[in-house]
Amino acid sequence: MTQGFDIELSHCRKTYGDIDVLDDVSLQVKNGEFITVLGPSGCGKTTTLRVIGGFIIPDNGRVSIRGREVTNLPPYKRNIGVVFQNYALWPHMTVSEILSFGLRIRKLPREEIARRVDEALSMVQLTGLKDRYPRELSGGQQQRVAMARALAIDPEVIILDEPLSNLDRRLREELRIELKRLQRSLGVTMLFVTHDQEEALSMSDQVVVMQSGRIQQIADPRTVYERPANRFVAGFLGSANFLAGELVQNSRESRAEIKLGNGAVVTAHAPSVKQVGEKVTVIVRPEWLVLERQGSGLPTNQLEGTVGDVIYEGSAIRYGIKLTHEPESPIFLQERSNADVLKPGDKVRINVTNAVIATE
Amino acid sequence: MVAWATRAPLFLPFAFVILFFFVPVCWLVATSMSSHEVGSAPVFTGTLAHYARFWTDPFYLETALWTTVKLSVLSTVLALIIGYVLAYYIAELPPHRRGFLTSMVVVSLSVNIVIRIFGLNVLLMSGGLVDSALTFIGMPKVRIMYTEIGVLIGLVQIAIPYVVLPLIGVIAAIDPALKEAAASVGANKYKTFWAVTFPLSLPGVVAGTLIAFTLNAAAFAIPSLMGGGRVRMMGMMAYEQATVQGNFPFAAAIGISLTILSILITAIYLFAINRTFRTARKAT
Repeated sequence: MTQGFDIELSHCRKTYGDIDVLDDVSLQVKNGEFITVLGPSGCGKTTTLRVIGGFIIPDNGRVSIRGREVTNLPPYKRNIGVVFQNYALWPHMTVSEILSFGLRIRKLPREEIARRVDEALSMVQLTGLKDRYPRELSGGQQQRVAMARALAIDPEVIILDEPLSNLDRRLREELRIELKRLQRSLGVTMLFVTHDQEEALSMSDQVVVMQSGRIQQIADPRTVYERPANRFVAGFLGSANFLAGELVQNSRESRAEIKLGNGAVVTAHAPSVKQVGEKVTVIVRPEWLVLERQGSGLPTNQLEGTVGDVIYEGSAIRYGIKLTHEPESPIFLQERSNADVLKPGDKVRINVTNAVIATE
Repeated sequence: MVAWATRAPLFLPFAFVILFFFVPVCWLVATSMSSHEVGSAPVFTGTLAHYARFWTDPFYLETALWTTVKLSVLSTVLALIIGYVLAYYIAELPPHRRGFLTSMVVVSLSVNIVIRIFGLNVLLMSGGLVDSALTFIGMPKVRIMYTEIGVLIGLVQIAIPYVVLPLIGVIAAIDPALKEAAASVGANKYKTFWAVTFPLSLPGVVAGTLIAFTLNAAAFAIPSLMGGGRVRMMGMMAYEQATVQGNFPFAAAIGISLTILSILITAIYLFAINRTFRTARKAT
């Protein structure tokens, strides 16, 4: 049953020529949820948004908004607020004309329109700029007007297509917090498309990671980052080391021991049941590796190697480490930069504090 | 010195315009205010008699002035309607498919006007294609050639390319997201067109209609060749006065009156556009 979800896509497919832009995409967004669709350009994330908005009709599949099927409805019959990447503010209208346009179409009484325009403007903190034209506003202000226009029509859901990508870094971070606060206080369901992993991790209740028209993983930000489903997700969100190995033990609940090519054994989280002897890829994030400065420790989760590159990154230092007897190196290790700095050529011992087996 | 030498060629265009436009116009104004004696050259006296004759005689006001205003305004409006539909269609095509249709519009411009008129003659004359077709479907016989309708058709078809060409560029340059944004807040295609597309295409509308109007207000070939002497527009009348009657001062007065009329109507038009779409200029 579709009830209970504000946005529901089931088995949506869209093909242009030979290219599957959307390949069997299904997702469900609960009421009041902030969901992010994340992926590199061309992964189908914008197509997903446009299918929800009604700007693209999928070849197959269903789209429902609040339980109402809208698959073949044009955008103007959907009641979805859309925030476009370049804001798409009508250059020949003032801010109040832009915000009231959708309300005038709905033939609301004049006082009601005025009230809702003021309300939308105060939500995005733009009171007093009613009579400005878009070109008289800064990028950040234009972004807020675009947001207010989407809010003013009192939509069932709001979809946003990389709304912060045209802003400079400081403003982007500021608006990120503001947008999230607004979403939470209004309780409005939002689907947010971005290629920026930081945006996705910091704002979302759920993250949808896409690649080549397919959904790679849907989970909350922590799970997506700490338990990436596959190499792509691990590599796209943050950086990751991939180590090839063979499963030697699968005793405890979702924990497994893996023997790497150089004989070292690491324990890793196993999201699905694996057979002993199976070849697997272990994902290890740079900050999950800790340099052992005082001698040897435990028998497992220890790696040995030689420091190669030393990269200073301000708050952190990143080492490229060539593992002994391990072809798939260097692996990268990150630690806070207030620790003693190692030099290229130093022999090191590394403790693996966390690792995940990729599902494929 | 060097700076002067490198900039000097820039004055050539100005010199050209002054020599070949302003000088003749001044000469024309002077001629229009000269005395007229049959058989002798005009002598400048500063008289406004020729203007008085044109602007007070009901014959000239009705046959020439009214016909000119009516036909040029009507042909511009019709050319805008037909041209807008054409331009909108072309602009909505994917870019690689716009080229062919656009070049067809350009080609129609490059065909000599007299040839186009003769083509229209063949189509519209009694016993021509249109006439035969109308007769065939049992319509009563109507005269098109050598009537105002015939001249109007001629003027419209001359004007269409001038309306279409600037509009294609302007409409195609409108960000599709602006239309999608209108749809997202509930505007159907019709509302989106009138609220977004049309206002944003106004610069093209103004450019096209101004060219079409000024061209048709001063039309000479079409009323001459398609009006059969019955449809008199001011350009034609000035020509007649100069070549047939030999009355150069009166011909000049008609010409200057036509120019002033054109400028006046254009000014009213631009004023009205600015009033109705007070924000049109800000759009760009």
